[in-house]
Amino acid sequence: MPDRTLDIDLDHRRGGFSLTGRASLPLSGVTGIAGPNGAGKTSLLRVIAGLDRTRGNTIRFDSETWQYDTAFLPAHRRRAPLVFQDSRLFTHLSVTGNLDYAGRRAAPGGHGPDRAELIDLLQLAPLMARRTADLSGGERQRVALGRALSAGPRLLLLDEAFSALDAGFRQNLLPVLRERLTHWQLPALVVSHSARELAVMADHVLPVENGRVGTLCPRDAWLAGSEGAGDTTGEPGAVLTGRITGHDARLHLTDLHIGEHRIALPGLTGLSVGREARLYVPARDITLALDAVDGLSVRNRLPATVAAITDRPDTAWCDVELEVARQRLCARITRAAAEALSLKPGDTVIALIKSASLAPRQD
Amino acid sequence: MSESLPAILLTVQLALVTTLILFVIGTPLAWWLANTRTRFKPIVEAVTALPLVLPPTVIGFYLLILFNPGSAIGGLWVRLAGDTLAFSLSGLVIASVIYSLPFMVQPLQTAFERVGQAPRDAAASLGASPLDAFVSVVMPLSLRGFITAGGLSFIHTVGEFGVVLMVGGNIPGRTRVVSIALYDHVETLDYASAHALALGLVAASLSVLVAVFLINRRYPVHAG
Repeated sequence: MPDRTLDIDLDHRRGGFSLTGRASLPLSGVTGIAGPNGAGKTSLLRVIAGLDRTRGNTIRFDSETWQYDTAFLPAHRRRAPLVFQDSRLFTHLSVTGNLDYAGRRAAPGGHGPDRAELIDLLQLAPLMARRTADLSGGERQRVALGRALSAGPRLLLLDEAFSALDAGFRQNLLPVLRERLTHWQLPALVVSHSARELAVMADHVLPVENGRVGTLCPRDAWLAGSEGAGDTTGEPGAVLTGRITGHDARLHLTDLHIGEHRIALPGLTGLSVGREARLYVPARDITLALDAVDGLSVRNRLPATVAAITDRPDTAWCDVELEVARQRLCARITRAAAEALSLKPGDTVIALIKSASLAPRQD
Repeated sequence: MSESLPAILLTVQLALVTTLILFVIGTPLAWWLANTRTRFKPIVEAVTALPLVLPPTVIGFYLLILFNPGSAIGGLWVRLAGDTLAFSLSGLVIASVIYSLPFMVQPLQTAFERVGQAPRDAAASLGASPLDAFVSVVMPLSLRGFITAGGLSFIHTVGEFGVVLMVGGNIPGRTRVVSIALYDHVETLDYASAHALALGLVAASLSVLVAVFLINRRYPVHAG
């Protein structure tokens, strides 16, 4: 069902705030929603969830009208659970109680995991009998995610739902969750201020800025576009595609080949050899060197060719576009450094990669 | 003491029935007050709070006029129930419901407002209808409010005097409650009986209040 879409046409004015624009979002895979604080990302999710009845919005889920003129399908009949930024667990219920609450109200025909799979995915086993009041922020987010997935959802709405997870858990969860969403055929809208999260999770990105819904674009284009990632999140980056070629159990590193170049990354031991994988490399985590350098702790080094250098006016920075094994990479370095190295298009450099996140291919 | 037993039983019966009716009436009223955006809300709140400040004799006087078989309501009641509202237990219950209404509504309204919209949004998003969300989320989260409201309404009804005297009179076994029996004992200089009843009322009121505060300590505020 590649043609199913969520169509939104917003003319949402409330007090001094407005949210306008139209978009047609694919009801498959993950659509990221990006934008600065206060842009209207959370409001957009609330409108789609049915928690905001403001007149003037039109929402159509595939062939179903959720809101049009005075017609309004209430939130509890949309089966589009929203995972709130502040989790909003029911404090009078235990963790199990929270999951059961959603499970008992799940309608047939929804998508999602069974309880055992859920506990395994979100590592909920040690939390199940706990009182929600005693949980840490990250634990709450895991339970809130599990609760939404228990509700038999047809569309999952995530509002900064990973922000409190500890970095290691998030790094492992996101690629696996992404894969499971495809498996469950459960479309998701993911609001995030982190380009890294969206790079790993999203197929498309919908920018929202100043109460205006922008144009849906493919993730790679969004990451590359200076109008997208660079300006709205301050964290530009690029995606490299490679293939997992081995695990080193002693060093806890995973080998990844990009073209004929090998790099090694930690924390990916759960992924099988031979799989194609996408790496998100933040522009700030790339250091450039003119020659092979010794005596550095950075071990991932890729030969690259400078494709273009873009100044960022009124800042100390410039973005260097690189070509690595016929793929594109972006490095953000100071203008002073670029001048000192007298970089120009066509130069050959070594890109030293400090860190990267992994995003598995969806197919 | 044995001669006081009918008054004690009648008082407990009146307070229980009144509290139950108040739960039924007060819960939706408090819910509406906690959620309405109408500009008439302060007026409704003021009317609800009026029994707190009015002399009980004023409430009793108007109710007595309303209960008169010659009036519309009093007459209708006589035709339906075959008895007058004035000087009957039914009349006392109605009077007590009005008199204790603020003690039910205000704690509930505060509790509902404290629960707020956030958990209801979460419940709706997970597939709970508004009524379902009220029963499964708002009520448990408002447990302290319900305990406080029930306890206060009960004990406040036990302690009422003026309204009962105006509406119910002093008919033994029918409308003579403890507070009025106590008044009679003092009038007839039977201080021993008066002491017993007065001490009993103090003990009962204190017990209920201590129970309310104790239970509220055991169930800390869940919302938030």
